[in-house]
Amino acid sequence: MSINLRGDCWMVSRMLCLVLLVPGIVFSQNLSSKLSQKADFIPTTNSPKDALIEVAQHYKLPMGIEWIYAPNQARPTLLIEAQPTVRGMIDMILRHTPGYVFEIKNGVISISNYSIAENPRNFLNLRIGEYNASKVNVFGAESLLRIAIGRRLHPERYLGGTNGGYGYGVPRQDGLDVNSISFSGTNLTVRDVLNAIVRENGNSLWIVELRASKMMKDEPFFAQRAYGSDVQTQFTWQIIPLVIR
Amino acid sequence: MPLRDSGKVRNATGSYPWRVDNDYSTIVVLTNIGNQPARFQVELRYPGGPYSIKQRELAVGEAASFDLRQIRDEQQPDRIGKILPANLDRGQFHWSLVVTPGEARIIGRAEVVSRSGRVASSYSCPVCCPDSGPAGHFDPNAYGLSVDGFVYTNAHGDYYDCYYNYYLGSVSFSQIFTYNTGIATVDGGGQLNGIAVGSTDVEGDYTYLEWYNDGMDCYQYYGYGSATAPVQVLRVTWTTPGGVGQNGGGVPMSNGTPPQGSPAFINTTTMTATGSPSGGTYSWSTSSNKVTLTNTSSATVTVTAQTESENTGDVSISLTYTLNGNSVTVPVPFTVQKPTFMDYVSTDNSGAESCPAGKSGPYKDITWQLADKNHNPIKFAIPTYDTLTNNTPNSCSVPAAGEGTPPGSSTGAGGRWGHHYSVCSSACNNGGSCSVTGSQKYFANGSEIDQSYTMSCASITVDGH
Repeated sequence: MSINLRGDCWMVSRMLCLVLLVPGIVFSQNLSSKLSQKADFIPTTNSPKDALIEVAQHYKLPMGIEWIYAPNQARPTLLIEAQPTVRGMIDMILRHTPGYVFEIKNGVISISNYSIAENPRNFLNLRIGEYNASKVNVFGAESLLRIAIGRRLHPERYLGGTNGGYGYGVPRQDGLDVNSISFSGTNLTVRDVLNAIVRENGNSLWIVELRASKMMKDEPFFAQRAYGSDVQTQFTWQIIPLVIR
Repeated sequence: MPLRDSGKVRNATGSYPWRVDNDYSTIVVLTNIGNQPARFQVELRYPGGPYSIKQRELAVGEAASFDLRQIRDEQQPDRIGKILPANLDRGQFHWSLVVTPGEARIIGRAEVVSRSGRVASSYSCPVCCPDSGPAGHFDPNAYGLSVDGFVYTNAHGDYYDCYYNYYLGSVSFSQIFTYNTGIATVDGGGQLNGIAVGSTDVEGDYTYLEWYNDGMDCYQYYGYGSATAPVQVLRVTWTTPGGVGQNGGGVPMSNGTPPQGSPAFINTTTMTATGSPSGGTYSWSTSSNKVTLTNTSSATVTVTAQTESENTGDVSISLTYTLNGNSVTVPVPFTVQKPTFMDYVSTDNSGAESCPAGKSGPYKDITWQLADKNHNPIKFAIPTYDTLTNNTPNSCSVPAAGEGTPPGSSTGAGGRWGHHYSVCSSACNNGGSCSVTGSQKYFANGSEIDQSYTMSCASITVDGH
């Protein structure tokens, strides 16, 4: 199997960057102002990962989190000697979890660990082929991503076509079912698509918990956090709403 | 027939020995020999007694007969349901004219006979004056009931004979009413009805007679009395997420452990009670083994599913609210719901799917309702995922494994699930046709629900919809 793994979207074709960057500029400006405001809220959860989610939800920050799965991770000590900015708050959380970096990419706050961020066994670096979402909701966009990953890794299974679908609980107040996601591109990474989904949706973040010490069953990638099972066959990520109305 | 002159009114009472051992029999006959109806009551006195026969009125000339052996052997209940011990064979028969003003006259006689003992005794033993009373009391002396509920009042009268021996007997209220009919009402039969939360009193009015003698004859004092008892009307209501039917609760049942990526299964729920007036205590209980209850002495109880309900509401949970010693109890019908059906709700959209290049086909959006075996909606956010398995080979050239929903989602809070179905096949291009059949398996809280489907280039049908 040959998998083309490269850096982020800045390194891919001009067309792809145009698709992703134009809305990203608008979102980035809004995001910068949110990050510059004084923090009026201190996370109360017990782990840095959950603290980041709390901050994202409180300030409505589209975020992508690549986290190394570490059970029983200690709660960060947040030293609030002076009222920090939101950006400062995120820095303080990450200061207690070595190896993590924080950057803004196309309107999404990306948090990753440099030790595996570029690793070819990190499935977020997998470049899928064509991805085309047109007025779909988060669940539809996720389904398209699953199909794209499968088609990239096992093209022989998709020669004639696909069928099936996806489901989700209704009605819902988190906006994940709003058909607001439209974007397309080629040669995108899984990370690019997840970032685009939460940016287009506008009320969500994504998180992937990677277990670098363990591989998926039948796939050449690090396992993701296994919930109730030690054998992982499906790619797993979570999209979490920021605000439930 | 009694062979005795009616005499003075002091003869309108009596106490006779009675026995029914061996072949002895005792029969007492009381006769109204006056010129007006007359009431009397009877008390059988014995160790462990008394046995109190309800008051009765005799018409002029009417007689009442009491066969003591028959009363004992037939286990006839007295006015409060008490029966004579089966081995009781002797005691005292006390009777008295009661609560009858005027010149009423009743006389009595006891016949004690034993064929083997060659005994035939007749007793007509007057005492002094008839018994005085009653002094009426409600029994119990306080009532608690719920709004829209009812309870029956009960009452007794205190009597005493001329030797000041006190005993309990009947009392008849000439009228009974409540002070505040906005809180509770009472009907002529003594049934209290709760109207609104609050307190009031119930009152029953009666007449009484007191006798005294001057050493020569008996004289009566006729008066009116009343008995009262406080009435507390309470209300207790309950709420629970995921109700079943009109007035019931439900709890989902789970099976096994959640798969990778799934939220935790749900097999508990809570019920919260609110009592009014506030300040009381709560108690929850059930005799069913289909659920277990925890925190049963608090306002909020946790219900955990154990086994599936056969019928809607077949788990009875009892909620009792107690305030100042008064309690109301309401039943809560409950259902343990195992996910069994995905009931069709609606088709929301359909049309041409946005397929990858080189493929085309239709889509259809259907909303389903997760339901139990009796098609009651399961109104909880139940962890749910699904798989689709196609029959192969098929003319759409899609693989055996269709696209499904991985673990990680849950139904909506009301148990609804929206599903987007589609087929994208090169066989559908340029007006082509193909068809694929298969089965969709839902896994809701660990329970499998199967549905069949047919997908073609023109339409999608799932479970007949």
